[in-house]
This record gives sequence, C-alpha cells and structure tokens, in this order.
Amino acid sequence: MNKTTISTDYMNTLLFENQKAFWDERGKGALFRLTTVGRAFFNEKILPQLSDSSTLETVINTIDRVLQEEGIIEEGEVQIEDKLVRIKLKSCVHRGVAARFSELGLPPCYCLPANLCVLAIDAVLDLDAEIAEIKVKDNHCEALIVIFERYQRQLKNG
Amino acid sequence: MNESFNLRDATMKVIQDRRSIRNYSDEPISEEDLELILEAARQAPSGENAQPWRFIIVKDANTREVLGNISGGGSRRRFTAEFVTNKMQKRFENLQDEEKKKKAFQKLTSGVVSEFAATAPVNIVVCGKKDVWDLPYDTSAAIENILLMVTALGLGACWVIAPCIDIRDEERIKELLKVPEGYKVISLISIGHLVREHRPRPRLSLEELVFDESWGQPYYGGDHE
Repeated sequence: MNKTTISTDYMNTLLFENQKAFWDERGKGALFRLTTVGRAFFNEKILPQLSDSSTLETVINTIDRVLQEEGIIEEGEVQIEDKLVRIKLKSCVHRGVAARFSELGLPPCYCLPANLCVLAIDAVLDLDAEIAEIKVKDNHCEALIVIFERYQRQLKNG
Repeated sequence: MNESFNLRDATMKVIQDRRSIRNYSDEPISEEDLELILEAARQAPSGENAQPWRFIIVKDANTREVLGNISGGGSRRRFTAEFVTNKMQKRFENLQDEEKKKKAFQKLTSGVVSEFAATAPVNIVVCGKKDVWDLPYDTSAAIENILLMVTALGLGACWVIAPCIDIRDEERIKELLKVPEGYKVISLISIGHLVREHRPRPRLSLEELVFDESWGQPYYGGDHE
C-alpha cells in the first residue's frame, strides 16, 4: 500500500459522498450492495495469511493484526459468543465516514473491517455471515456479525 | 374465467386479484401460458425503447434447488440480523398475538419464507442490461406485466428480491446461470398453479398516500371532496 497518500479528511469525504449517493439511490437496500467492498484488499493482504485450518478466532485476529499493521485501526477487540461476533475498533481511519452517517440519523452503509471479517468467514471457514449492526461510539466503532452454516432448503415438500 | 367484464373492470380486477403466491402445485406451466407471460413482459414501457430486460427460464430441478437455497439463505441472514438487533421485534410490536409473532419470527429468521423458488415449476430470472439509464425502472415495469398476466391466467407468482438484493447472492446467481458482466440480475419471479385462494394484503388508503400540489397536504379528504 502506498503510504505517501492523500489526507484522511479528503479520502473520507469522498467515501462519505459515495456511500451517501448509494443511500439516496437505494435507501436501506444500499447496505446490501456494499457487502463486498474491501475484497481487493482482502485478497491481497489477508487471504494469503489464512489457511484451511484457520479457526474463527485466528481469522478475526489475523484481520485485526493486518489492519493495525496497515495503519487502518489502532486497536481491535473481539468477542465471540456462539454465532455472534462483536468487534470493537478504536481509531479506525474510516470512522469519520460512519460518524457522518450517524449524525444524519442514518445507518452507516458499511464498515471495512466488518466486511473483511465477512469475506474471510465465507472464503476460509465456508460459512455465511451478515453484518447486523454498525454503531458509532465516542472514540470507537462497534460491529455485530452473525454467522450461519450454509443454507440448505428446509421444507422439502413445498 | 366465466364471468364477463368490460375492459376497465377487467383491468382493475386483475390488478386487485394479484397476490404474492409462494405455494404451488406440481402441475407444470403450459408453454402457451409461458409465452403469453413473456409477451406481456416484452410490451412493458422502456425509456428510449432500450428494452434492457432479458429473461432466463429455469425449470431444471437442480437449478431451482440452488435458487431456493440462495433465496432462503439471503432472507435468513437479513432477517436474523434484524432479529438479533431487536429491529424485527419493533416492526412487529403492534401484533398482539404472541404465538403468531413467534411463528412469524421463526419463518423469517429460518429463511423458509423465501425458499419456494425450489418448488415453483417455473422461475423467470429477470436480468437487465447495465448500459441503459432506466434499467431498474424498465425491468420493474416488465415484472409487473408478468405478474398481471400470471393473475389473468389464473396462475400464481411471487416477485422475489431475496436472491439478488445482496451483491454476494447476485454473484452466486450470475455464476450459476452464466449471466455476463454487462447484465445485472434484477429479480426472480416464481410461477406455478395455486393450491388455495389467498386473501388480499392490507393497503394504505389513498388519503395517506396522495398529496395535493406539495408533500403533506392530503389530496383526498380535503377540498376536493
């Protein structure tokens, strides 16, 4: 990643305006059109560090470590309760984007670290996942992710 | 249909009789009916007459099974997310019958509510050409024409967004059905023969929906009456 980059404010303003345009066009449906944002970063930086034997804990911890190494977050905290994963992100560079949505009373359209978790859960653990909530707090963000086994039709007779 | 209607009444009857039908008998859809349904779609309005719609007819049992799983999985993810954050409970707070509420939550969060594409004898996968300005509007008009013709033929259908609203599921369908990059999967229309009559769903009144000259002032129930 090129470290001699543009200002965070400039980047986040553009990201906000992009996401807001999605929101204005699709309303709540916008949340589901941005679920793969971060895939290129995931494929380049995270996937090579994971293997078939990775567990949910190692997957999440790897993402946390890479995000810290890349300077995207300062600190990550993870709680796993059965099928629920709660991630707490301190000083994420993109916090300003989510905060602007919250100020408008709108749900943030996506959270990059949460998207990376969902992409990894799908690609490495062969499970489905959904971001249930993204909350913007005073100096951190929180995302709640739900994990599922792959879906198999339940009503075999219609 | 043995009854006789003038054109105005027949049109309104078809519109009012349309339901979202999710249970079907095993009886196949005739080719004659299917062609009428697709012809209705073909006649939909289209900006600049671009006709961005394309239709994939899916009858194969294995493909329908995958479509049912993608639809059910998508609904399960979204509804469960709504449930664990208490948004669903809020949405249903006016429903007093606790047993009914519990059943609704179970039906939605399990994904069962959307897996019926697997049992519909015919699914029409509606795709749209991305290089067209009015893609979502044109394809939606074509879908409504499909639903109305299905109703006029005495069949049942459901417009299903569940397998394509999330880009991850849309990618799965595109791969399954070999949809090229220049096209978007818009919706799935499951079609079959009815197994029972369905009651109409409640609709908001015109008083709540229609405004007079600018937002907020009701058109009906005011000076016009």
